[in-house]
Amino acid sequence: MHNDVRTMEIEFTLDGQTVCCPEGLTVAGAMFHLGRRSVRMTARTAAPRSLFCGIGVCCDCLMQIDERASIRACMTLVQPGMRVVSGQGAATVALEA
Amino acid sequence: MSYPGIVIIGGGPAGMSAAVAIATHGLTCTIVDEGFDLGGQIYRKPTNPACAPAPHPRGEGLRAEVARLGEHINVRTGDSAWGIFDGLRVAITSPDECTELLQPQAVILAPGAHELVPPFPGWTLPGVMTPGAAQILTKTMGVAPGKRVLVAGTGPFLLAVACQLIDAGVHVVSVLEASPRSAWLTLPLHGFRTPAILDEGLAYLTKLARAHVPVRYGRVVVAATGETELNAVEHAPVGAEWFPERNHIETEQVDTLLIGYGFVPRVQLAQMAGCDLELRPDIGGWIPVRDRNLATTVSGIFAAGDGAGVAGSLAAALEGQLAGMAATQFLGAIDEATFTAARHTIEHELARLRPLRSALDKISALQPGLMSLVRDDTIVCRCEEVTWREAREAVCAGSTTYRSLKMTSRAGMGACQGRFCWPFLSRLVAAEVKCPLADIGPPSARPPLGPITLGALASGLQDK
Amino acid sequence: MTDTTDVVVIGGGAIGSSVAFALARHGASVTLLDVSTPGRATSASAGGLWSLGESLGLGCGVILHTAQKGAGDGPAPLPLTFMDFLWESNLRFPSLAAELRTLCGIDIEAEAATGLLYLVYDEEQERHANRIIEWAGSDHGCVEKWTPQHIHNRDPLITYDLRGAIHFPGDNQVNPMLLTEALKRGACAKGARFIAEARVRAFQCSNGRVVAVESDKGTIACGAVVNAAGAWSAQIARLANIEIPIHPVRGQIVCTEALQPGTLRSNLSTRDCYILQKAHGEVIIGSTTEYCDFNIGVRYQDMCNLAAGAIRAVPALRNVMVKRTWAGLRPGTPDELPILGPAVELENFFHATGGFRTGIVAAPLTGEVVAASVLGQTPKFSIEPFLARRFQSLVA
Repeated sequence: MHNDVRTMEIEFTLDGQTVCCPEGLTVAGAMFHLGRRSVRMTARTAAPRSLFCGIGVCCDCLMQIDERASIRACMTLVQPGMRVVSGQGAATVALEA
Repeated sequence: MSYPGIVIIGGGPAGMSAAVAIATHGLTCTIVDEGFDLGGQIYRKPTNPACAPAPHPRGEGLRAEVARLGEHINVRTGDSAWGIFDGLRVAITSPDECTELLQPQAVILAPGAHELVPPFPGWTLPGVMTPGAAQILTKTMGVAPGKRVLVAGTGPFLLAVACQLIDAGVHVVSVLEASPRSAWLTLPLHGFRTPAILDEGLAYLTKLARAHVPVRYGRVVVAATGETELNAVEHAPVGAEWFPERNHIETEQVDTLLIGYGFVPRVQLAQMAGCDLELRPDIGGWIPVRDRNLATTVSGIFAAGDGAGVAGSLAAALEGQLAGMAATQFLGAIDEATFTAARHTIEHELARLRPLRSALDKISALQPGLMSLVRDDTIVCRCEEVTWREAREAVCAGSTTYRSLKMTSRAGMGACQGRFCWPFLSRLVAAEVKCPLADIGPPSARPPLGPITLGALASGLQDK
Repeated sequence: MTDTTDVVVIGGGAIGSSVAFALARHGASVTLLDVSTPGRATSASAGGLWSLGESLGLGCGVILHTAQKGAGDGPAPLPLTFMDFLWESNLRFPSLAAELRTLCGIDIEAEAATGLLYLVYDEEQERHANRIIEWAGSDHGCVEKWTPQHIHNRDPLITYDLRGAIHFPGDNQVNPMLLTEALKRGACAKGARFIAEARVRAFQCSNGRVVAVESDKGTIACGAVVNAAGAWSAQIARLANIEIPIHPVRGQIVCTEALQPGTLRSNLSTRDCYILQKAHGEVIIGSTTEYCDFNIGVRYQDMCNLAAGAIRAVPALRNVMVKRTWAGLRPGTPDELPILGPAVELENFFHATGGFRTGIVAAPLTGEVVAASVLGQTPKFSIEPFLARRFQSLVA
C-alpha cells in the first residue's frame, strides 16, 4: 500500500522501549503499525481500549504522551523522541522536579 | 492578538468554502481546525508522505482557493476551539498549549459530524472502530486497521471505506448493510437529478463485486467477541425495525469490525454559544435552528455543513459558501441584491441534491431494533464504563431525567460529554418516562469541548 | 386531579431531600416536588464538608465578604452559633451514610479523614491564619498549624513554596449528588412521594394558611409547605406573597479528568480557589462567588484564574486534563446565614433555604430542625438566629 517514496523512520519510546515508525503517523497509527492495537487499560474494569472514532471525539485512545496524562493518540503525530506510555487505569501525575 | 476577522470553526468543505466566499469579498477570516491540515474528514490529506494523495479534485480545488486568497485567510490548523463565551468570543488552544480568546465580529460554525454507533456486546474491544477511523489509518497513514475486516452499519459511506481498504490491500470479508436491498434499489428514482452521485455508488458496488466482497443487506452485528482484542463478530438478519432474528446468528472470524450507523452533527459549540437547537433525527439528531441565511438564533453566529444537519460534502460546500456570504453581508461588505442573487443560485443547487439525500436518510434512519442489542453487562457509556444493568437500575430507581441518570450512574459524565451514549440513553429514559425524545434534550455541552491541560487553560490568563 | 399530603416540600436538592427524609422518618406524609433546572447548587457543588473552614471565613476560594467590604483585615468569621450548627450537622454524616446505605444501597462517599488544609502563601495570610486558630477555639477538634514539611509528608504534590497551612481535621467531603439521591430515595422508602418536573405555579391560601399547592403535575392539598427551592426560593415565596432576601450567587467550577485515587489526600483551600479530589478520581477546582442574576454560564477569565490558582497550589496539576467546567447558583442571604423555619406571613409556610456556601454540610441538621419546626416540635438545635423575621426591616 506504500508508494515508492522513501520515508523517514521516526524513533520514539513506548512504555520505555525504543521503537520506530514511518513519519506522518499519529500515535494511534503508530500503535497499529507496531501491532499493538490496545492503547490503554481502563480505570474501572481494567479492560483494553483502542482507537475508536479516530477524530478526537470519543476519547477512547487516551495515552500519556510527554508527561501529559491523557492525550488523544488519534490527534497527535509521533515526533522524534516522544515518550508514549500506555495507561493503566486512571491517570497519574508525577512530582515536578 | 491579531485581528481574526470572521472566525470559521472547521476546515472541511463547509469551512473552506465559507472562507473563500468571505475572502473573495475582501474581508478577513480565520479558519480554526484541530486537524493537521485543511480538508476536514472527507478531504483529509495524507500525513505519511508514502501515501498517495487522495484523488479529491474538489478538496484540492478548495485548498488551492484558500491558498490563493491567503492574504485574507488566516489558517490555524492544529488549534482546538473548545468554547464560546459571551456571544462571539472563541477560546482556542494551540498544540504547544497556549490558550487565547479570539474576538471576532461573526462566527461560522462548520465543525462537521462524528459517527453514530449504538452499544452492543463487545463494542469496546480493540479492533472495533468506526469506518472513519479505519479510513484515516489507511488513506492518510498507510496503516492497515487489521488483517480480516468486516464492515457493518448503514449508508453509502460503508461502501466507500470498504473500497478504500481493498485498494490498500486489506482483506475485507463482507459488508453488512442493515437496510433491505429493496430499499436501495429505489434510489435511482430519487437520484436522477444527481447522476454523478449514483454513478459513484455503482462504482463502489462494482469494485466490491470484482473483489468478491459480498454486500449483505438486512443484517446487523449483534455482538463482538474476543479476550483482549476482537476475534469474531456475530451478525443476524433483521426485520423491518432492525430487530435481529437471534435464531439465525452467523459467526465470522475477523480481527477488525468497522461499524457506523450514520453521523451525528457536532453542535456543542452552538450549544455553548446559546443557539437554539431542534431535534431532527432524520439528519442526525440535534441541530442548530437556522434561518434561510444559515444564521443561528444568536446574532452573528452562522452554521453550515454536516455540523448543522448531515447532508454530505457537496451540500456542506454550498452551505459554507452561503454562510460565508451571509456573514459578509451581516458585516455590511456586500449589498442585499448581490447576496440575494447568490443565495438564489446556492439554494437551487442545494435543492438539486435534496431528493437523493432524503431518500438515503430514510433508508438509513435509525431503527428501534438497534437499541435492543445491549445485554446486562454491556457497557453503554464507554468513558465511565457504565453497564446497561447499572443504567437501567438507575432509571428504575427513579432517575427520570437524563440529568439524574448521569448524576447517579455517571453515564454520560465522561470525557466525550455523552456524545457517544446519548443517542442510546436518551431513548432509554424517554421510553421509561413515556415522553418524546425531544423532551430529554441534548447532552449538555461544557467547555472545554476537547481535553486541554490545566496548564493550557491557565496560560489564557495572559490574554485579555 | 387533587392529591392530599401532610407536607409539600418544594425543591429536590440536598436541603429539600433532607427535609423530606426527616419528615418521612417522623411518619408524616410527604410530597417532594422537583424541577430539573440547570444550575442547581446541589448538582454544581463540590461536596466539601467544611464546617469550620467556611464558618471561620476562609470562604474556601473567593470570599464574598472581602469583595463587599474591601480587603481590610481579611474576612471575619460567621457567628459562633452558625459554626456550632455546621459542626453539629457535620457530625451526623457517618451515621447518616450508614443509614442511607442500608436503606437504599447508595454509598454517599462520606470520607472520614480527608481534612481541610488552608494554604498560607504570605505574611498577610499568616496573620489571618493565626486569627482563625484563635477563633476556632478548642471546642471544635484540633485546628492546628502545619509546616511545609508536614504538608509535604501528607500530600507530596502540594507546593513547597508556602509558609505553611492550617489543618482542619474534621472538615471532610461527600458526594453531593449521591447524598441527595440517597436522601430522596430514603424519603421514598419511608413513604414519601417524589414528583419530577413539577414546577410550582401558585399557592391556594385561606385564613392565613396555605391549603394547596398548584404545580405542573397537578394540585396537591396540604397541611404545610416547605420552601427548599435554593436560589429560586425567593420566587417561590413570592407566589405566596412572602418576601425573603435570597439572591443567586454564582460559583464556577473547573473539573479535571479522573486521577489515581489518593493523588490528593487533603481538601485544599487557598486564597485563589479550593481543590479537592473526589472518590471517582476527578479533581474539582472552585469556585467563584459572584452576583450575576440567574446566569449559569462560565467565564473564560474566571476559569483561567481557577486553573492558575490550582497550579500554584499543586504544580503537578499543570499536565492534567480539564474535563469540563460548570457553574451553579447558591442561595445567598445578606448575612450569609440560612433562612430556616416558619414564615412570618403564613403560619404553615416554612423556609429551608439560604444554604449559600454550606448547604451540603448543613443538610442533615437542616432537615431535622425544619422537620421538627413543621411538626410543631422543639428543634434539637435552636433555629432562632436563622428565622426569616430577622429580615423584616430589610424587606419591608
